Amino acid sequence: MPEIKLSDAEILTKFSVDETKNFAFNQLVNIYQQKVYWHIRKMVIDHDDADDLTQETFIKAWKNLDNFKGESQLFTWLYRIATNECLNHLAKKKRRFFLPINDITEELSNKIDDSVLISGEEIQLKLQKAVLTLPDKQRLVFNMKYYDEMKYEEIAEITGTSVGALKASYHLAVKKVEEFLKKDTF
Amino acid sequence: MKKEEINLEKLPKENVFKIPDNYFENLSEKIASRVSEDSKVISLRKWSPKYTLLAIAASSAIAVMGFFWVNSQQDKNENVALSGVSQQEIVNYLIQENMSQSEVTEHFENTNLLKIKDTDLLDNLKVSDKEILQSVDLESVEEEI
Repeated sequence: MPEIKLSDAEILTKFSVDETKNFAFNQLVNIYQQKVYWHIRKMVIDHDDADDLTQETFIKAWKNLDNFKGESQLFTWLYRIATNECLNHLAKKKRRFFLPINDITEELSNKIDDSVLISGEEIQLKLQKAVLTLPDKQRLVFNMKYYDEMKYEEIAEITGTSVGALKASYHLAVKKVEEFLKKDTF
Repeated sequence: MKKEEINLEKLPKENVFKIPDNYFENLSEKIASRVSEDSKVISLRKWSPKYTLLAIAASSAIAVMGFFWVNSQQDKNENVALSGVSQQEIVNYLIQENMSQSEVTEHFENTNLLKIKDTDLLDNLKVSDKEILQSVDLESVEEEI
């Protein structure tokens, strides 16, 4: 029997009733866990970190879903929670180094070379390293536009930034990445 | 050699990140079990007016017990302090503290603690006969006679 996928409205209605609350939340997890995980993984690179942060994102969703007013789509709301988790995690990591941003960039870049859970063509690995040289917020915008092919309006909802600023940020990011690849690859 | 132009839009979009086998099946279970743990914790933390009343009753009982305990400790300390003092020392102390001789003797006679002679009291005062005579108003003595 094919699995029935509930709409956002159905999930919210069932979540508000005690008897169907857990069922509705499991549906939410099943529908969105992959999107949320990949969004986080591209930011933190390491699988274990992404696993922890994905769980934290859904625990926060469980605690706060009652307050969700339905003004945005559920996935943009979840992405917003996941994005905050990522940025806080990266900021904590940076504080641990005490020193410039390069240290964490280098650590994540080394993971691309060493992790058994990362593999691909050389150019793709270099592209990931190039993306890592961007500031965290610009990297977020780049990932959502380039890999997830999201609309600027959706990204704007998640990041709370204007569409104009996002367009400028993305074009600048693309330029920087292409420059990095040109300089480093050939 | 001329560097080749890189155009991101022409690069195939490949996901270089891998995950362990059956990761997402396990992830759903992990989240479900954390959510049920979290629900239990929340239910334990729920506060009700009944707990407030219990808390007030318990703290009042502790305060009353504490009051009686402190009092009993103080009584005990006083008894312990006085037990090491001789009765003679107490008499001397009371005389020094300007209690009248009659009050002292009356107290000890009533409590039958000590038989004191008048001469003992005079001895304790360490006052010479001469000094006593000087202090007696002769005129008033004569009047008495």
